[in-house]
Parts: sequence; structure tokens; C-alpha cells
Amino acid sequence: MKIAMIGTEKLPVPAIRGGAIQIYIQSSAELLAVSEQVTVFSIKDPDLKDEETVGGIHYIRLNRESYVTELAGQLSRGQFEVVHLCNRPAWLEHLKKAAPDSRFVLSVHNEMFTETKMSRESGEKCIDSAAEIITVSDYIGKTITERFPDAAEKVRTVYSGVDLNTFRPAWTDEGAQIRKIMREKAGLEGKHIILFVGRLSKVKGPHILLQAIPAIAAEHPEAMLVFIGSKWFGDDRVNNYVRHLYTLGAMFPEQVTFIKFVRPSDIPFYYAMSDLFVCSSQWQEPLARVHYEAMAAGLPVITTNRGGNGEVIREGQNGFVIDDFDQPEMYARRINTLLGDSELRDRMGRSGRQTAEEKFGWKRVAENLMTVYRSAAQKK
Amino acid sequence: MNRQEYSKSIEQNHRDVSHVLSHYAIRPESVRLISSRGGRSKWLIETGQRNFFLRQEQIRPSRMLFIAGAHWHLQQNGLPIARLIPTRNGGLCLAGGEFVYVLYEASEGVPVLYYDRDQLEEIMAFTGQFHQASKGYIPGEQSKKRTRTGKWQKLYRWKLQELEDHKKVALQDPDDAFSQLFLAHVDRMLERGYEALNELDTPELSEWTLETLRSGMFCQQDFTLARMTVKEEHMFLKDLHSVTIDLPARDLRILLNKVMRKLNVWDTELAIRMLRSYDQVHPLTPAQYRILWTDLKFPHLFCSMVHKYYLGQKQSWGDEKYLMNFRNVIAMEESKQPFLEQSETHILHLKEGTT
Amino acid sequence: MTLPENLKKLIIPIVDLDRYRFSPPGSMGWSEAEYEELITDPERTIQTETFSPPEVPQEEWVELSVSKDRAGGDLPFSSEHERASDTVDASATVTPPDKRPKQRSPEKKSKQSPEKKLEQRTEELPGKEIPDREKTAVLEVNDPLIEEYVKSPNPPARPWLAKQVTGRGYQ
Repeated sequence: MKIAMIGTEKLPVPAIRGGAIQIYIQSSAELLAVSEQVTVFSIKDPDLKDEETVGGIHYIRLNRESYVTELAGQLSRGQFEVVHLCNRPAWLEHLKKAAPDSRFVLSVHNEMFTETKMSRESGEKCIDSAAEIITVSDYIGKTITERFPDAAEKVRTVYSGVDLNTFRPAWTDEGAQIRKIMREKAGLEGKHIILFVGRLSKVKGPHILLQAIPAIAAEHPEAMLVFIGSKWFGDDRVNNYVRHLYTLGAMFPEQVTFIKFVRPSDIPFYYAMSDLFVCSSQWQEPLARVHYEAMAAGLPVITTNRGGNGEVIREGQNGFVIDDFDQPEMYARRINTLLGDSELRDRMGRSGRQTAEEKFGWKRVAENLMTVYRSAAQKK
Repeated sequence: MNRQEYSKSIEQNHRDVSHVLSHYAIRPESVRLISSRGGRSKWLIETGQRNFFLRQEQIRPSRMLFIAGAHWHLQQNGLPIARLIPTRNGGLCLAGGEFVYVLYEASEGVPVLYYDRDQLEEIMAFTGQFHQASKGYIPGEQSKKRTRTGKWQKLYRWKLQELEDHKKVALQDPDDAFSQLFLAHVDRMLERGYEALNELDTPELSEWTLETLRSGMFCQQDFTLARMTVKEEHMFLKDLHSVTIDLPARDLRILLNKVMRKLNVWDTELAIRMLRSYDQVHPLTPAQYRILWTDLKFPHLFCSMVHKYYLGQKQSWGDEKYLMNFRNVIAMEESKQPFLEQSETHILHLKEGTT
Repeated sequence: MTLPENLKKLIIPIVDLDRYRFSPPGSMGWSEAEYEELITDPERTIQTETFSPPEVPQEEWVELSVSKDRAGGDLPFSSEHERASDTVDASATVTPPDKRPKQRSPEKKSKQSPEKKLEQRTEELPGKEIPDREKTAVLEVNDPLIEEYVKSPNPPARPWLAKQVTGRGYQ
């Protein structure tokens, strides 16, 4: 099948500058290209060629300023059976007109169909132009079908994935060694490490976790909450909220560690070092990929019921889902349960890893995408 | 930097600004730096006939476009506002490097006072005009909107969480006078805040939110009387700092809180008179006023004061000054109680034109 | 078993939370901690900020949201207005950068470039349709009330506004 995958105007593919959508495209394209003819469109980058074929994938990189126009031109000439457009519903109608014989699959990675982002008219036109609409979680799917019920027959969930090989659970030899070394480097030997990975912003709720510390420390003084913020701007550019977090954290220096900056390639080491993972998102998040990462690393996961996050956790099996997401006691309770029961942690971690291997490896994602593409190709 | 060096640097600065001005169809005779702080700078440009202000901001061009577009929209709709001057080719603003520039007419007029009740009523009427004039705004494709509608619950929740956080910090320092005062009142304020949060859970809020989004209307980002002036006996907006898409109640809440904060006490009669003036120009429904009452119930000023203190926001304030300001804010917030409790009566009166 | 190279070299940068411990401002507006530092360290001098004029970098300037209807329109100073076609030369919209050294860091530069390229030209497209990228306006044009707002705001709209309504947006 001749397939086109389209990245957004923000970052190039391969994901040399990061980006969840870019990683999603790159990882699935690499696997799809084994049997299909895959072309990936993204924006130009000074470190990448404008056109090249690597690993069986044909990359075409276009100017950001005229991205949509150039895309339309490329698609009209490209004769693709299926075009997979990522997260830009507003472009769909136009691109479909440029390539009427192609079947379009739109993947929706966050809330793109709300009142504030899209008029009813545009939404309907977009949905008409798509053969299939895939979403990264049931939650996102609902945000579309609740407003546009007619779209229901086209909308389905295709979960994203994680590179299973880069995460090493602590029960593996490699994982155990990494864990030991990391704990030494961090000076955290003998601690029970609770890991938070994500932007240090209000909507992610790290301040709620800090509020939970007294209740955790009372039962488990050896507990250590490790925060890894995914963006670091340098010492002198700490914003008010982060300062606020540091001020709170400074009250519990024995139980709180903030790590300034972590390179993406080093992130798996921090997972290996930890005992459990917590996500305290306060907002209706589509589905944070840290959940996949934590599961792949064999960590039990505590998360909130906000947005799609709870969808990949089976209560009591690979983690816990908290409903009262703004109550620190709820987190303290679950954390204390896990810290007090190493067998439970181990069981949950292994269950998480197994689930990740079954459902959230990129191979599985690519297979799911292929099913959707085939379905799209058959539609009129 | 010594005096000579400073003079030279100012001269250079003015020369640099002249280059910026070449993009506008004006003939500047003199350029003078008026102010510069917090990433915003302003120059007075004198020409033979009129004076202008050139404002420089370190801001994303797409964000400035949203504001400048709003400014243009308001003036086209006849709102008394300092006129935005387009660039030679009709651009709304000018982008260069990390900065964006906007040129607008400098206006002379009489300052507006927080203590003049008649003026306050006129300002409310003007605000009604502002909201009316803002309707129909369609931001350009390349502008980045700022939207607060639909985010009220999130904002309330965050502020309440922050108060809870600061309680913990306050408890650590029992000798600190500010913290003591804070702890004495925080629970009551939290109670009000949670009540207000619950009150937001109403279909009227969603309706108003949708209506606002559809109409294109917007508010000022942070309403302040400093940007108003009286020109030829009418209220006039000298400068449009920033705008945000939000329910008109936002501007009303901010202004009422600011006025009463200056008075150190909530004056119900004044509040009703002011709202009536607004209502005569831009009528709101009783349900919408209820939402305003909810927003006034939420302890915004208390939260803001606490935030400033524990994050050391006011570099020049000593402990006495913080305490004094805090006491005033608490006094005002507490005196608001009767006004909040008798909302139905007051809303009825303001709609009927009675007191 | 060989360990990954980057693990061997890894140094974990941990925030020193001591610096952020809250301490109340003194009577001078300095925090206790800051004051203590000052009086205990005689070497440390107080940094006073001297005001210097804001930077006005001589950049390539770009007029944003250009519109023929705004250029040379009803301006308050029409007597001094120079029509774009008369005296302005072709390079007027772009000012060549000054020879003074630029002080921006590379990081800032790359951060800035997508924004910097936000130009007044929109994409030339086949046909009349314009893709709305991230749709900003939310209008239900079949709602008579909205139509009224949009098509005839109070007072009557200038011609450029009417053009916007038909979907062309700022051009």
C-alpha cells in the first residue's frame, strides 16, 4: 500500500527535536515501511536533508511557511492510497480536495474538536473528508463524538506506544545494574523512590504530591519523591510556579528531590532507579505517554482519572486510579500501600510490563494502524 | 554608567527608534523614551501635528496581533480609544527580532480617580461600551488568542490549591506576623472559595461561555483606571494593554475589587450604582449577574496577596508594607459578606433601577 | 555486561532546595536569608541596577497583518501621510540589519525563527479557498443573531470588516 504520513508544522521527522507526534510517526513508519511504501512529510530542518530515503522510508521535508500548500501539491501528485494526517483537522478538507482519490485517516492527539478550537461547520466538513478518525484514547474519541455524533462510526481508539527495548525493568540483569548505579549517583541508596516525570506545571499537579509528603513520611520516612520536569530553562529562569514547588519542597528536604534537566535518552535510567510511578494530572489529559514508559519499565502506576490516563490502568492489577485527583491524602494512601508491600509492587510492575509488551509496543501500534488503513482504503 | 555614557546611550536609543518609525507614514520630529520595565518600553514621538506613543514589547508576534487586531476592531466600532496607527502597508504592528512594536496616538486628558463616584459610574458605562464594541471580533489567522472562558473552574481550583500549599509554608514559621494573620483567615477564605467553585457548576455558566465565544467579544486582560482618561468630558481609553476572551463579568469583578480595595471596605450602594450604569449600556441577565456574584465571592484579592508574599513578588516591600496591605485586603474581603449574601435582592434592585 | 556509555558519563543535576526555603522579607524588603548572606560575607557587594535604555535591535522588520484597506485609509494625520506608492522605495518594508554585533544567543535565535518568519503574505493557493490552520474564530454563520453581530456590528462596519466576514480573514 502506498501510504503518506504527515507530521505537524511544528517539528521534523525523524524526531531529532523531540515531539510526541513525531516519535509516533517515526516509530510506526519504521515498522510499516517493512512491507508498505511509506512516505513521511514533515517540515524542513537544517540538520536534515530536504528529501531522502532512510530505512525504507521516503522523507520529504517542506517549508514551514508554506507547508499546507506544498503538502497539497505533493499529495495531488503522489497518488497515495492512504494519507495519515496527524492532529491537524483544519487541513483535512483542503488536502482531501487536492487528492480526492486518496483515503484520509486523521489521528487526533488532543482536544482539537472543541468549541474554542473549531466551529461546527468546519468540524463537519473535516469529518466528512476523513475515511477514518483515530484517537489516542477513548476520552479524546468522546470529545469528538459528543459534539459530532455522526462521526461515531468513523472514530476509534488506537493507543500510542513506547520503545520497549529502551526500558529495563529492575528484575532484569541490566535493569538491576542501572538501578544500582543510578541510586549511587543520586545518593539515594536505601530509599523508596516515587517518580514523577512531566512538565512542572499546575495542570500536572506536582504541588498536590508535595502536599501529600507529611502523610507519606509519617509511615515511610525513607520515601523519596523524585521530580523530573521535562523542560529546564536554566537556574535564573525558574518561573513562579516552579519556585513555589521548590519552596514547598524545601520544607521536606529528606523526602524531595528535584532534578533539573534530563536528556531524553537518559530518561529510562531514572525509571530503572525508581520503585513506583505517579502521575497527578489535574487536567483532562489525552493520555500521557509516561504511563507507557512506566509500564515498560515495570513500575506500578498511580494516576488520576483525568482524561484518558486511567484507560491503560487496570485497578489493582498494574496500578491505581485516583478519582479525587486534588486530594493529597488519596495519593498518600496509595503510595503508602505500595511502599509497604514489595510483593504487590513486583506483581503490579510485572503486570504493567506484560501489558506494555502486549499492547503498547510500536509493533502493535503499527499493526493497528495498518488495520485502520486497510479499512479506510476500502471506503468510497 | 556615568552621565555622559547615559546621554550617549539614550541618543543612540532614539536613533534606533527612528529606524523603527520609518515603517510608519509619519514624520517624527523628536523621540523620547518615557518608560521601560518588565519587557515593555514606551517612547513619545512628536511630530508637527500630533504626538504618538511607540510601544515595544517582548512578546510573540502572534500574541501582539491578537491584541492589536482587537484594538483596531474597537476603534472601528467607534469606541473612544487612542487610535492604533497602521504601518505604511496597513500592518497592525511591526515585528523585529524578539520585539514587536505598535504605534498609537498619544492622548491628553484628565486622570480618572478611584474616589470619584460619578466617574466610576461613567467608567462602568464605558466598560459596557467596550464589551459591546468588542463583539464581532474575528482574530486574524496568524494571531494567537488568549482565552479564559471555560477555564474558570481550573483557575479557581488552582488558586485554592495554592492557598492550601501556603498554609503549609505558613505553619512552618509561627513567629511571622503575616503568616499568623494568614492562618487566622485562610479557612474562612477557603470556604468561600470552595462554595464559589461549586456555584460554577451551573448550565448558565456554560451557556454564557458559549455565547461569549460565538460573539467574539473580549475583555481587558487586567482592567485598571490608569489607562483611562477623561477627554472632552468623556471617558477615553488611552492604551490597550492586553485583551483576553472571557466573560464580561471578568472586567466587572476586577474593577469592583480594585475600587473597593482602595476604599478598604465594600460599599454595597456604590457597587449597585456602578453595576446599574453598566447594565444600562450592556444589560446582563440575572443569571449572569449571579455568576458575577460568584466571582466576587471567590477570594481573588486574598489569594493574590498571599501569592505575592510567599513568592516574594514585591521586591521593594518590607514586612510592614505587606502586613498593612494584607490587613486592608482582609478588611475589604470580609466586609463583602452582606453584599454576597443578599445577591438576589441586589440583582433585582440593580435591574429595576432601585436601591 | 557493558553498560551504556551515556550512563557511565551521567551526572545527575539536583536542585539545591536550601536556596528556596521561604524566609519572610525583612523591614527593608529583603528576605532574612539574603540579609544574613550580606552581613556575613564582607566580600559580597550589593548589586545595584543602573538603568540603561531598552534594546532596540536593528533587525529585519516585518509588517504584520498587512491590509490595503488599512494602508492610507482614514488616518488622523492625512495631511502628513505619504502614500505608499509615492515616496516609499521598494525596500521600505525591510530594513537591512545594522552592522552592530547581535547579542542574541543561538538558543534564543532558534527559538525565535518560526515566529520571525510569521509574514504578512499568506499562502498562494489554487482557487479561492484558504486552509484555516488552527481555527481561531468560532462562528455559526447560520445563526441569525451571530450573523447580525458579525455582518453589521454596531456601528456599521467598514469595508475591510465586511470582507473579513466572507471568510478571507486578515490578508
